Amino acid sequence: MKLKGAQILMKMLIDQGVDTLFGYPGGAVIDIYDSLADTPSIRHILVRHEQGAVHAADAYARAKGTVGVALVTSGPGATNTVTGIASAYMDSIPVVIFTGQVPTALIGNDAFQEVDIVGITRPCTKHNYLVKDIDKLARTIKEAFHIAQSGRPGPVLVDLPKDIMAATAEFEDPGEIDLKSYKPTYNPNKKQLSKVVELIKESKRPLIFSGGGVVLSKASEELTKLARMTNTPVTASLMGLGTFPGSDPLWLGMPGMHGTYRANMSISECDLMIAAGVRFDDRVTGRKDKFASGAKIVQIDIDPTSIHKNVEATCPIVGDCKNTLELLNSMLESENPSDIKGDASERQEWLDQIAQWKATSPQRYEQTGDVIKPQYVIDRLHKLTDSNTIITTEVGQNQMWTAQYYHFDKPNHFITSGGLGVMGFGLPAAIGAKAACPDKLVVCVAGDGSIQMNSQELMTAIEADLPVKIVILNNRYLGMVRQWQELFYDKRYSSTNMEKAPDFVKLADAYGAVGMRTDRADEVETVLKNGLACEGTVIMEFIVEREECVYPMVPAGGAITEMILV
Amino acid sequence: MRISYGSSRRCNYRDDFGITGTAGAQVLLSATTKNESLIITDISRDFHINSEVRKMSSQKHILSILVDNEPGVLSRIAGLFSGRGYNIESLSVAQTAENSAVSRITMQTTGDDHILEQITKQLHKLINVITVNDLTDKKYVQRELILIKVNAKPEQRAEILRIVDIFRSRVVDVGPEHYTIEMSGDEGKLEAFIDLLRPMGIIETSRTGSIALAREKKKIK
Repeated sequence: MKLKGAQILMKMLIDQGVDTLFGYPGGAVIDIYDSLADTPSIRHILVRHEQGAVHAADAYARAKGTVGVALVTSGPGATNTVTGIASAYMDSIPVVIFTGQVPTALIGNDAFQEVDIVGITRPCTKHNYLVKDIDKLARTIKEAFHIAQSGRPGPVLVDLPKDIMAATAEFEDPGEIDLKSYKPTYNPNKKQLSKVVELIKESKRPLIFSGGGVVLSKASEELTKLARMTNTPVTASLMGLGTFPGSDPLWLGMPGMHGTYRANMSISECDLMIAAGVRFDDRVTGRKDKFASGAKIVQIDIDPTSIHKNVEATCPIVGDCKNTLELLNSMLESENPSDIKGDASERQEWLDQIAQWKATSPQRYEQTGDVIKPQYVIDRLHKLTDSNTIITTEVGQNQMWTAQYYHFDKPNHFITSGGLGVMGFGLPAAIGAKAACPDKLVVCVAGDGSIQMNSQELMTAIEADLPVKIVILNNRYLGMVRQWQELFYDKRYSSTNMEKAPDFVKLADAYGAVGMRTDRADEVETVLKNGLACEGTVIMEFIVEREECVYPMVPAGGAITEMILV
Repeated sequence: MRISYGSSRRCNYRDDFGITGTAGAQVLLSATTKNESLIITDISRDFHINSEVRKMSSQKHILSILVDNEPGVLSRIAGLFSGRGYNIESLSVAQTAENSAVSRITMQTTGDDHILEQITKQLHKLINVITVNDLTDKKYVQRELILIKVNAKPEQRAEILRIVDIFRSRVVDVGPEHYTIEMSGDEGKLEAFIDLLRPMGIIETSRTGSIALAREKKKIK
């Protein structure tokens, strides 16, 4: 069967189970959009900026547990995707990005809207391709999807020259993908796991540290089982929030720079840390020589480069988190149940100690007076929504307060730009998540600074009928930087004062969304209730305490036990 | 390739490709390995002497890397090294004779055990990298090739030819006032040879990076 390149692309997308594309047309991809018009099974969501397309695809992938797909044109279309790609790369999210390219004969000639996007994105993609031969098109697309979602997932970019899309060729199914140089290790070494069983039996003060890898391998059930079976408290990185229920008594909260006192103290005092799917980011470890210095560390990760990169593991295990934890659990089940819970009185002592840390230094804020505390908004939002709500965030204080005060019970329900920390992520991500899960309530928690970075996507939400609820914590500052300036730069608020801001209620109105605003604490609940109950896209703006800081805080480079508590 | 010796030799730099070298040494780099032999070298043989970055345990390693013979592969590797702050001391790349779809990269790099572990793992992580072998602690043969154009006035010729003879190298081009000599061997031998020719007046040289193979019958996979 003879097909156009663009038709082969459509065929392969359908073959890969793609039903949603986030994209923006342009000259170089006009053939693809022409074929897309003949492909009713694929929904195209027209964003208003290509960065938004990749963030939306990223969130779509996270909310649905599948691959997200973005389609953009050459040149500026391609370069606009770079931030989104880098964010997906840092957070290991499976996204496939198709970029248009000038015709092959023009490549290298500085043609109109030509850019070497494969060269530009080499360091921020898991892999990328320039397709120069239509006979390799189908196979390349299949490989791209295979690479994006296998092993440690990540973004894969496929650059598609215009002439390849317009040319015709005999379509042949590429068959199974078998790359001799790419064979991720899914199954753990059993011998190493039996060592872990012994370490668990010996441990007096064990701790589980769960990360984004547990979300990606869909292993949160196994992780929860391990924790409950061995009576071990759990902390989770920003990317791992929701992998263990936030309402469980064994839950410690997030560790690190803005972690809870008890999570950080537990890391310092534990004698065994079982780390699953974490990469020991500097925001978690603080001063590395003081991080879990008394503990034996079991590190489970599918990516060998994560092991011994930042922290030396006593017992490294290369494998998929789900497979590994499943096997570990089955090995533990064949042990005497009381053995794997450690000595009862010693374990109780450990849990009592943690309870005491919680009692003496809880994570807290006080809502007094009329001025709204931003934490109070998140707290109320948590109480007013159920665990099926998907929360996306922007980056900065809004992100940290959400991580601290919205207690996630399920994985894939907290979507944030963790590694790269992209302001402007939250709104397009909310749209992507809503496209993935139309039946779920999707809320974007934003700051007044970050919402302005991609507010044009409001139009996408309205046009594509993907209603999202936006909570803006407006302190008229770039709050996180202002906080650092307050604490470490003598309160010189250089360029962080943002008193001039748009009227967000009018902005909502201008796009055809609903806008609400309050600056009174006693109205927070009413605004949230009304806003969440509204059918369409809503902006709820809360004018909050201007100089509220995110606490606890570990100054950069400090040991995680050296915390500023309030 | 022009080499400048003397004081500039100790003036270390790291260029955009993460290749460590000395001021005056030029580096050739192409984005493709397809159908072309490509060799990068740097001349800072005594680099370790005044490097403050290096730790005591830092050691020179020789890596033998098999990669898909595809455009852009070398760029991925060079980008990995520059992006993560690793050093490439020398590099040579060519398609293998046994399989035209595969190229072998021989690379000299330095670092302590921790860095070498990361380098090896990160290389492995690249989709186009098939195998990575650290030959350093194995038995291996190593060669570099140098072409040296040296002043050869009538009164110097006999002495130069004697040196050429002793080192079992050969003269590949003769002019009224110069010889071009081809010489291969390990790094030490080349250094000794260069030192002996230096008094004659070296006009220019071109030198490859190291290539190496393990001393065992079986193919390293």
